[in-house]
Amino acid sequence: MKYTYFAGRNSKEILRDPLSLILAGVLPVVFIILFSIISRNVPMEVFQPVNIVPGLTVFGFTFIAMSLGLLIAKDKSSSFLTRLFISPLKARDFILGYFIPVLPMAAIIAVSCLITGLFVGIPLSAKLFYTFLSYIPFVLFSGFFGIFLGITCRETQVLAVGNIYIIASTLLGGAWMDLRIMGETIRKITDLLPFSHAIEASRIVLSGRPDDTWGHLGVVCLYALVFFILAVIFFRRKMRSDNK
Amino acid sequence: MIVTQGLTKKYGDLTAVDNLNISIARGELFSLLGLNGAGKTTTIKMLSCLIRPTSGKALIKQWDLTKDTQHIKQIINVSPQETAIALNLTVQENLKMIAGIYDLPKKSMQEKTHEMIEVFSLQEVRNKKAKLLSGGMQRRLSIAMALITEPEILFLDEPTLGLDVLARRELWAIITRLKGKTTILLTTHYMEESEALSDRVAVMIKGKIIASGTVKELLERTNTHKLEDAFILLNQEEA
Repeated sequence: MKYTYFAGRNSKEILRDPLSLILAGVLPVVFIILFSIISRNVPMEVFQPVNIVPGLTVFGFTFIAMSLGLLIAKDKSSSFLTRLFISPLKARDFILGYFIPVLPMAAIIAVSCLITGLFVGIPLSAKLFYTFLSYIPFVLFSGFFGIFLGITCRETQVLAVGNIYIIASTLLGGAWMDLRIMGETIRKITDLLPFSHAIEASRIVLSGRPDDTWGHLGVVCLYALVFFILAVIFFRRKMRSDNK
Repeated sequence: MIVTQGLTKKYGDLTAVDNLNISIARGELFSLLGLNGAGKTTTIKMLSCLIRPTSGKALIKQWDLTKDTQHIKQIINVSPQETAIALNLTVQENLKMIAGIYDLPKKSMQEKTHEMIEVFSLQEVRNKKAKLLSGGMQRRLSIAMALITEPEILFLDEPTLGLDVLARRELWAIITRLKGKTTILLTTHYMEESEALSDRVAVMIKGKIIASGTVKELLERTNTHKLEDAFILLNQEEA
């Protein structure tokens, strides 16, 4: 269980960075409250609690990828990762060690957003629990994308790509806007990306609409699988990169 | 404990390590001396399984360097040239993390952490985050992280770089205590360090070992009185 010690270190590194905690944990909660106030004056469907809570939870998850990517990029730029490459840790230990801290972070974001949802009008029911479960594929995707980002980019590149990723996820995911207003072409693009599917799946679960959740979750799972494979391939390559 | 036969590392047209043949006995402290770019760090990287040799062979204990890396990694540790610590972790947490990664039992982990903190005089900063330590203290922590696993083979890549004279002498004392028990491969720019600590010394130039032996043997061979003079003479001869 060597990776648990490494995972413990990574959790501490992420949790001791107050900015990542504020961005991931507090910002979505503040936005939920803000949009629920706006929805009283602008009664748009997208601002309703059952729509805005999943949208902003997924928005919160996108910061996970950024935090993880930055941590790995920083480790890469120092001798710390070299020390660990010499240790008995294997590639799978590194992937697990970097991924495990994502889980408590994601749980904090999901729970705090759902609790805030209760205060802005979502009724207490088992749907909250199922909504929590519906986030799992996107959390997996965020973690593996973060590892991929960190191992392939330098710190400044992670910041740049990470910012584009966060903006793209909100705009093309429809976190706080109706994607139908963006036109057919953009709509087709958003269908190819995981963000709108992750948000829509959780909206269906939370609202109890009789729509297909699995199709949306399937797309997100596919993205998670692709980035898991890419993370493993690029991590292994990094461990051998000095051989070139 | 370490035997290399024709160990070579090439990066394209550049030969970083050229046909390295060394044999280091168990418990021996062997120093690699050389100018910047001589191939010392590349040698350590190869022997610590970080990079694969282009050609040649090496045995670490009884294990083949390219085939038995997991066995080798369990018995070695390295103090890299640059400080290698987790900055947001405390001194204690850094040490425990490395002990855990190397599978030290819980009880032993506690004892060794305490011991390293004592040996490296880090008591007052044990609960301080590593990023808040002075450069010298960070360096001491980095070396303590290499020693906490009680490696059978220890690679020290310029361990005293950036340490003040007192800290350097303290580290010399620690290294001296390890002699006989731990096999150590040391690279350094400080001749007096090599002179004080080494059982045997090898001088590396452009990836090749051009002379090796005890300090006394090198002095006799070059007809000098100080290792620094011998080193300069050997470099000039080779140039």
